[in-house]
Amino acid sequence: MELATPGTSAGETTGKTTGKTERTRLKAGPRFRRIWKFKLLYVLLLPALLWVLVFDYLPLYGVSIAFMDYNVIQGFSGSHWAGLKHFRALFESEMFVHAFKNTLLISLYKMISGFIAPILLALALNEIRTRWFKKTLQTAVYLPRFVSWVVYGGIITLLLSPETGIINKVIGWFGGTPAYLLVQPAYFRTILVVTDAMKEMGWAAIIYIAAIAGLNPEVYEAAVVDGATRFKRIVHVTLPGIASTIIVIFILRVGFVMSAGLDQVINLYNPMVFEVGDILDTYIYRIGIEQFNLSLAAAADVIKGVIGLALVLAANRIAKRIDPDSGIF
Amino acid sequence: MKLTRGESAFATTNYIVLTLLTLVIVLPFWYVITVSITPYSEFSAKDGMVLFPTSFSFEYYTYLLKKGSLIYHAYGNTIRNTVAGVLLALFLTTTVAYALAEKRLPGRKGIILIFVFTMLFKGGMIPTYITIQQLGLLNTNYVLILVMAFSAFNMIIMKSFFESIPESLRESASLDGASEFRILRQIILPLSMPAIASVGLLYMVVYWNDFFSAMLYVSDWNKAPVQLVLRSIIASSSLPPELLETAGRTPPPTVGIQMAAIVIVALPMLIIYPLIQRYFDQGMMVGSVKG
Repeated sequence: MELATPGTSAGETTGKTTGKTERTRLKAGPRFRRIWKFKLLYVLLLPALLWVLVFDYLPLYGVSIAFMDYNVIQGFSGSHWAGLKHFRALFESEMFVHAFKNTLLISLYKMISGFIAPILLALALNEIRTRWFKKTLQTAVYLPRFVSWVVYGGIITLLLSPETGIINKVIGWFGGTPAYLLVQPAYFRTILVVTDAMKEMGWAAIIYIAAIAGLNPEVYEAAVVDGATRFKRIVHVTLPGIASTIIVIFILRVGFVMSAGLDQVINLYNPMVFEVGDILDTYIYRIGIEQFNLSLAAAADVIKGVIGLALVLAANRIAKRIDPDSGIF
Repeated sequence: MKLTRGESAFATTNYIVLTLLTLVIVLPFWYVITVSITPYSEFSAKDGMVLFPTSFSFEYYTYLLKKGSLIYHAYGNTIRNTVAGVLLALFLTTTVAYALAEKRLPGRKGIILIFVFTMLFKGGMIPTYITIQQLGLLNTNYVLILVMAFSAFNMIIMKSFFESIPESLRESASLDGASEFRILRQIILPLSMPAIASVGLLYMVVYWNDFFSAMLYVSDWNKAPVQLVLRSIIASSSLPPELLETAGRTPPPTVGIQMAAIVIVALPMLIIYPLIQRYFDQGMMVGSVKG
């Protein structure tokens, strides 16, 4: 953030100066001439800068309602400051504590499966030598990524339903008792983790597939000449080759730990499993939008955002300590 | 190249495991399609096990897609939002990614940080909701086009691609007297088709599949995208007649309707992505964020 400020002012100054006359241009120093040389590029920056200003940076001002008793009719100026009242209320609320705990747990489970599975999948796909077969598999595993969680949630509900669900038929064949799994707290988190991996792993693998495709083939040939087996080639050539990609994705994922999958949970959960399945985002939605307790919900947003930022900064720092060239900033 | 015994066992296991995994991922979709085209009599006779139906019927589809039904209208909303949204998103993303791919640009690092910061810290659901409300965008036709029109992550994919284009190409063009704008339009953009197609598809999927922004910002059913209508069709075990405008007809059984609705909503993206797939491997390089 501190580093971002000089960048902003540089951008703004050039925005203003581009209109000046030829004479000023000739008088200006070398730095200004350098900026003037790229005037068209600065113009190209403006639309996206305007968008992030309105839709990413303006909401940062809205964060202040977490410290107010915000009233929609009176707006920012008419509402009273409330200090940390809403934050205290959150930590006294059992619902919030559940949501907080569930968010961390579900994210952690998804991190283990959802982060490792795509890497393994990419490595396995890379070993397939039959081109058409590889392409077919790729197309098939990407498929769920292109449907919404409304669609995928509907499919899962159908598969798990007690009357028509195939899963229950299979349980029946093996002598089990069919049950409506989606309303049972004991299974809900497992369902979230498994279905998330099924939906996202194919697409998540694509970044590693692209990274593997970019590796230098000569290194492989050298490894073959040195007598490395296929497995050894994976461990000693492919994995180190895509390590930097793995680290970037890992850091980004750590930044999303506080987002445990809003789209998924909101389409699968129900009051029967709130205790194990409610996450911060669904909690914020219910409190803020459905019950219209905007300030309390915004306080939960603040907690979520601050912890998320701290986590990603920490992950970045650790990555840099291990390898100074890694890290995303 | 001859494989040792261990290696060929490795290869065979790999083929089998991947094939099984793929079946697990794809079969649910197959099942949805078969349920949606199996007449209810067969569906109930086989107790739902209709992976290979013997009779077909499109009654669920004709029922859902009757002109004037809510799903029909909402489909139009989704198409409009997606087309307008993807064009806007590609404009915003390509322009800024092209500018930031120029490594000599003064202030570049700071400007990149402005964008990267938006990936790391967000105001959150409620502060964003308040902002949209204060801007007067709540419940308008524009809000679902505007709020998803830029993603810093997609911008970085695009920027990495532009950076991979040899600088000499641009330099020789500018020596020949081509303006920066002409270089972008006639040299860079045609070369960048893999990245533009991939990123365009990413945006398209976001627009087509969005339901949550609509839940937040749109309360009028006339402005609702088709995902929101699907959500209410799936959530309701008995279909409210006003939702589907079924005046004078008893609605057909719910499961079939739900699955047919799923197919109708999901199909366009499932047709489009394999067409663009050949660009993914080149277009999806995630270069370094810090540049």
